[in-house]
Amino acid sequence: MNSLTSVSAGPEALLSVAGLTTELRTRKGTVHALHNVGFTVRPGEAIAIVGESGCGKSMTARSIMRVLPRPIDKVSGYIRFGGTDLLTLSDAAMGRIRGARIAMIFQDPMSHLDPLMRIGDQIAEVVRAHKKLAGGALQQAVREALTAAQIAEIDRVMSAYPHQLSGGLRQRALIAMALACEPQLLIADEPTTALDVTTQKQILQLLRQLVTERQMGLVLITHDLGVVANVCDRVYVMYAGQVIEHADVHDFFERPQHPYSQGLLASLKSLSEGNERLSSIPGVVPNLIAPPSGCRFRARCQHALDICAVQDPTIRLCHDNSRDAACWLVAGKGDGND
Amino acid sequence: MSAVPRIVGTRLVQAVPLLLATVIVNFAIIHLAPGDPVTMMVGEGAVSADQMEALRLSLGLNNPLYIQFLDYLGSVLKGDLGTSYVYHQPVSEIIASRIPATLLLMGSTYVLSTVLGLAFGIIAALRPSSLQDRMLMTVAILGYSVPTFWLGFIALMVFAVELGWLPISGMVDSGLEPGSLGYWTSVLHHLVLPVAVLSLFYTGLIARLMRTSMLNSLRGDFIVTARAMGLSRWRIILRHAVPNAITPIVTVLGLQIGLMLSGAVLTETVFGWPGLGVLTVQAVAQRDYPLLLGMFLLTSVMVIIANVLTDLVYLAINPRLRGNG
Ligand SMILES: Nc1ncnc2c1ncn2[C@@H]1O[C@H](COP(=O)(O)OP(=O)(O)O)[C@@H](O)[C@H]1O
Ligand code: SF4
Ligand SMILES: [Mg+2]
Repeated sequence: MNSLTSVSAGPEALLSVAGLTTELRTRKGTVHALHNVGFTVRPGEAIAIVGESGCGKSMTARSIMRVLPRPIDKVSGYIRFGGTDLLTLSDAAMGRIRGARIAMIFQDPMSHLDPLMRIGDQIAEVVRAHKKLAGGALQQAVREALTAAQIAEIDRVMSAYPHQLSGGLRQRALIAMALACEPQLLIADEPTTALDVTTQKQILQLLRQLVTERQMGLVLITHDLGVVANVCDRVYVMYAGQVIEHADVHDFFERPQHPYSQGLLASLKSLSEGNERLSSIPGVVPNLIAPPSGCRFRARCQHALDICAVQDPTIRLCHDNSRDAACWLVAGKGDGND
Repeated sequence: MSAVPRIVGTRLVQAVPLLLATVIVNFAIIHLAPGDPVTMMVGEGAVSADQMEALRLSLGLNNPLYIQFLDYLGSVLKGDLGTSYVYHQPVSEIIASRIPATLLLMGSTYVLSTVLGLAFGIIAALRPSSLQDRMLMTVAILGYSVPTFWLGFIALMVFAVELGWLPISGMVDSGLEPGSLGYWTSVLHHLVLPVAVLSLFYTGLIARLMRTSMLNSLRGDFIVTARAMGLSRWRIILRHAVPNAITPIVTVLGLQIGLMLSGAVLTETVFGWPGLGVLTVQAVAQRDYPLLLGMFLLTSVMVIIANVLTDLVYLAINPRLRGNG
């Protein structure tokens, strides 16, 4: 398969994912949540994974972390991190990577923190899970994590329960937990969706700063394209469990190639121009228990060709660092229009 | 933690209407009950009409109703619950003498069934629909749907009558010196069957509750975080899932304390356990109103105490209720 063989995870890649296919078992049948997903992240680089809700962004993150929400029928493909394929690791070995070398933060920090435990204890617990620290050294590590998350009132936050903090502080506390063991890669699944605009800006600034200063890799998952431009270097667009376009941020905003990406940007534009009517792409994401044949975007696409009904355009998508779009309208791989 | 006195205070204030209502109902029952209290006290035709009238006067029974009520309220507040028609002893003394037996039976049952119920609920929830889950839940459902008195009789027939392993009735063999080792061994021996039978019911109830609550807790987002942070499976279960599963059912666990007195009635009767349950049954059978009313009052007080204790435990384990301080 092209998408597998054309992976050029350069030696500098921190994480490279290829052919990632995840199928969940549900009562109604197998959900084909991810199909042949691929991307790379380098140290000191922030990539964005964007797409409407239900496109498989969270599923991608949780497949990498191996914390899927329900029994799985299948997880296959290739997730290379630090020289090994995470999918081949034992549960114990994966447990040593989670929280220590790859950390993850979530959309709703209130529900993602244990309501019955003080913030300081929750952070200390993560540190202790990965490092043999106790007493003063442990406290010191917790303080450093809170400082790294740019929390000013360290003592108050440490002894507070989640409900006693503001939304922004809760997300910072979660970030502190994620940073406590100085991970090389941070996966942030819609980290600012639940926050007000000002707090949102501050948190995004913090994430970008961490990427630059620590040479950390960042996977920023969002359905809000407005967030992407200021924080990320490259963009991956997902639709119905597949990556359908990737490009660097500049190219993406200047010349989106896939009709879906163009639709997303058009709705962002109409939003920023203060249009009353939110111009969104007509139609809905298809049901992933029985994904449509051919191009999964076909039912919503105004340019569909005959081939779109029979051939899945993602098979010719290359996953290297150049740009590409999985659409039969777009000429040869990697060369785009430039 | 200024919330503690505040919440306990609120509870106690809320308890006043409940207690007052109990006292009013009690008072009404005394006056609506068939038969004349004086006749009930001394027995039909035992004394002359003059003597009856004198007694009536001395008891204040000719006073206006509200005076009588205030008198009654006053004596209840002083702990004077009247005199039993049957035992001719102060009701408060009779009740007090039976409390230890019921406390022993109910306390053991409560501790045992809470510990087992929580444990079984947790184990079942860790592997929903597995063999262990199905087996535990079948036993749990049987446990609380089989009538306790029926189960009690069967258990008596098998273990006491047929096998002769355990005593048939009572709380202790006669002739043993109270407080001696032999005495307590005998008490333990007598305790086994009633506690086992009653615990089956409560364990089943608590296990079902805990299983549901634990499944909810395991689905929580904070469990995803704990997994994503690389915590070990057992740490996630014991430090995060279990506490978050227990918190919402503490109220129900506390309510059970208040309801246990009614559980005692059947069990004590079946096993001849000399506690408050048997006493209540006797009071009903012998129309011993003062004693029965004393039991009503005791039940109300138990419910109130259980509520306050529940609140305190809830407060201790749930920081969200302690405000922002
Ligand atoms: N717990 C779950 N059980 C079954 N299907 C799920 C579950 N979570 C997500 N899915 C399915 O997986 C697909 C991708 O979902 P998700 O990754 O959460 O989307 P996104 O994060 O992009 O909004 C969707 O089709 C969704 O229906
Ligand atoms: S492949 Fe065909 S259907 Fe799919 S986006 Fe391109 S033109 Fe539209
Ligand atoms: Mg999501």
